[in-house]
Amino acid sequence: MAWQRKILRVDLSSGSVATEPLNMDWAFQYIGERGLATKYLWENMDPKVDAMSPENVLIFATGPLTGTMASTSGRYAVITKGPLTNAIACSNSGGKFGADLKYAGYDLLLLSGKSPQPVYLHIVDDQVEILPADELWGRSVWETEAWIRSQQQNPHLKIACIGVAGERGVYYSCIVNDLHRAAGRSGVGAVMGSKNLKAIAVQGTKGVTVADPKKFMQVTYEMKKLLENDPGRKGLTKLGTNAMMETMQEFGGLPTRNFQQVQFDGYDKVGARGMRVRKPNGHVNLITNKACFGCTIACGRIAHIDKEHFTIVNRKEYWHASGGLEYETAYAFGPMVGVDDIDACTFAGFLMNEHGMDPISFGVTLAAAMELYEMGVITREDTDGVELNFGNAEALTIMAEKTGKYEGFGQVLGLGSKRLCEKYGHPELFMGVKGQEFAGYDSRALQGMGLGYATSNRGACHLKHDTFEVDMDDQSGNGKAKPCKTSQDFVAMIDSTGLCLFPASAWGTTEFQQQIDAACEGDWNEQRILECGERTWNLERQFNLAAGLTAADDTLPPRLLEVPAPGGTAKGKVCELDKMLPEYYAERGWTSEGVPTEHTLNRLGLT
Amino acid sequence: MQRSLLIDPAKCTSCLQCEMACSFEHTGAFNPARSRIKIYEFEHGRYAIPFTCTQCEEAWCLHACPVEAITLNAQTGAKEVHQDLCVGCKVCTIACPFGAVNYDKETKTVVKCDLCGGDPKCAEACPTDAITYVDADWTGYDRMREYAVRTHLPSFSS
Amino acid sequence: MKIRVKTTGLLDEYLPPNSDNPAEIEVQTDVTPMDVVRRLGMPPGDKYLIAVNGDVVPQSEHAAFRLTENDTLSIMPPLKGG
Repeated sequence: MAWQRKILRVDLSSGSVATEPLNMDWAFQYIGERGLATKYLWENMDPKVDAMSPENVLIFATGPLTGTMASTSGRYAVITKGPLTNAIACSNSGGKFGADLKYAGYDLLLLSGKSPQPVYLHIVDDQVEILPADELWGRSVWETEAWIRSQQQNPHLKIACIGVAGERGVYYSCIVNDLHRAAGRSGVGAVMGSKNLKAIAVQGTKGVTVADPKKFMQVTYEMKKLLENDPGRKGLTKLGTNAMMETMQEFGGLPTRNFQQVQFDGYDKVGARGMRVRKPNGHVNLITNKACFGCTIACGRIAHIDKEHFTIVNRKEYWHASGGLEYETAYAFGPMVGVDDIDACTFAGFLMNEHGMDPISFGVTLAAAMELYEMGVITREDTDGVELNFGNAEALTIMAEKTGKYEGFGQVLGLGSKRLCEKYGHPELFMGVKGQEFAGYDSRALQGMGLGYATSNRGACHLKHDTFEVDMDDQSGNGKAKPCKTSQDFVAMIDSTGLCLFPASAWGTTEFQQQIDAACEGDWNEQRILECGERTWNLERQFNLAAGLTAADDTLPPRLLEVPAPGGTAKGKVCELDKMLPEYYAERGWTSEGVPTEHTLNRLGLT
Repeated sequence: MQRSLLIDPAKCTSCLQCEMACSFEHTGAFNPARSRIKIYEFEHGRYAIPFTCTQCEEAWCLHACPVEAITLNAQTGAKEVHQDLCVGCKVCTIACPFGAVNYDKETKTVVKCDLCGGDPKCAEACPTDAITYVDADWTGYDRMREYAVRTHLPSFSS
Repeated sequence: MKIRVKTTGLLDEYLPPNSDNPAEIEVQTDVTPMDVVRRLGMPPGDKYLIAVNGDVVPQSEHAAFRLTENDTLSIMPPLKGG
């Protein structure tokens, strides 16, 4: 009922495969997916180990609502220690893979050790095999999908895999499922690569039931109606997330040229509008929209590149459609690197999915490299002869491919922005937190975003809290701590259910609670589910503290703390983290050193 | 009036709510593996096409059945499999040129779309009207209207 | 008096037909952002982000702030990025 009550344990060192009952005490404390996997991670590894060592544990986890008819029920989490940050990695993905893992009968897949040879995991319900992947090693994500389907002659398989970037340990390599969805951040792809695990292919035929089917169908039907009528949802369906580009430009929070500016002249060419413009030769970037499993929003974009564009004019293999620009990809490949060529941005986006890399981290890393190049610190000798100026669309696409294939300067870019900036003696140019690069929001314009970036357990992240409303209403650092904390708990709850964040534009705690309560055994009220979220947040914090992180890591780069925004609605402002952070620790029930107090741990049952 | 499922692939986002609805209606669990309607995707998801039994007049399945386990529901026009009569010979799965009848290993009988007795759950669940349940005599009506406008009233925008 | 109205996202659809973005419109003196929202046919019950001449106008002032001649009023939908 909702949970499958079974987990799959695979030790890649010994090749052992076993199932065990889901720990229901933990399920009742953490719900599922992100929270539950964090508990399993905590109980199964030492947070101090090297993220790319066999001792790191890699977990794929679904939620109790994954695979049900609740809207947006396709999510799953990838939880591990992230090489990019050496902190907990709580990555999340949609597509169809998670649903099939659940339908195969598993709430969670726990991978330990390291395979002596490259392998892939093949799961069809109870049949679980570790199969040789020597013919797969070295192939791209897209080639890997095609090869496995052909090899297994099973069109129903859903596949999550890595490309060469993950094999070679690019610090922000990711796990791609269903060709263009991804567990994107913190280098989870490199963890999979470090275990010699190339892919997981799964088919599930067992289905999912719920505790109170009649109530569940009624409640989810009502929630879908609410979602249908929501203006935020309508925007996402029609325009996709890249409509944020126009709003951020207007607001003056659009990170440009490595956060040197907050607005970008070329914004409209690479935003949602740019995706709908008809070029003189008739080409339009956007083709249609697409949904993940169970989703009634369909924010996904399907796009194609102009066949006459320099990037693909002689490369027919890229003439097909694939995943189009999301806001984050567009920001990272547009304003962040000064490029206003939508075809170049879209092509680079294709490469991210083909080779398995996080576009945010890649774009921000390239931006830092560009700034260093314009300073004369990096030269053409370093960059294989490529001119790495801001605005150079060719540099963007050439470097995206080099990094994906781990060639030439791509190997340096594969370090990520923090390590690259340190390598060239300019650590202050790293735009991120705890080693993870910023998303497309400048926290001088959005103060609560700054607090969220600084305190997110997985490094800089725009998704783990939600202070958009208060940030856009009041641009001081006042009153940001409480909404940041409560939204972090709220998001952690959603991330533990198997549902997506985006229905939160129409659904509050009540709406999520009603669906959870109808699906899962037991009485789930609002307080209980938010407490599960808070528990998850504090457990992640405990993991990080045990891994060696401290309050000193809850910070922002000097550019945001000291250099006033040069324009926009927040012109002249810096990010007031020094004011917000102590308030935040107090809200959390943590010491002034950012450590959960005994009282807080007791209250949450974490001692 | 008799109604028929109308599929508009241009509207399909491949959310698979229809596959869940169908399997839930017939098996009590959300299980696309046991859905009688399937979505087919092409070119990285650019094209998503729902397909299922069209309740054809020829009814090869019905005529192929050696034990008359498939009958016509006069009200809905659906060709329905009676699982208590079906012997699992699978001859109907061979007879159907569309592949719309398939063997279900759980029940050891064949399964196919039966229009849920006149209240098809896939159409109810579809969030984009890619699947609708319309007057069987006029499945092309709306599309004809669209082309009437395009042809003769080009200044109207859709 | 004349003001300019700029929109983003789905709100573009509410600008007068065949106008640019920003669109120049004629309004009464002392008009408020919410007056313009209603005038353009945008749902008055929805939430909006409002800025005037590059400065944010908080929610609490959407119905009180008085616009002046040649102001640029930005009306944006609350939208999540991804």
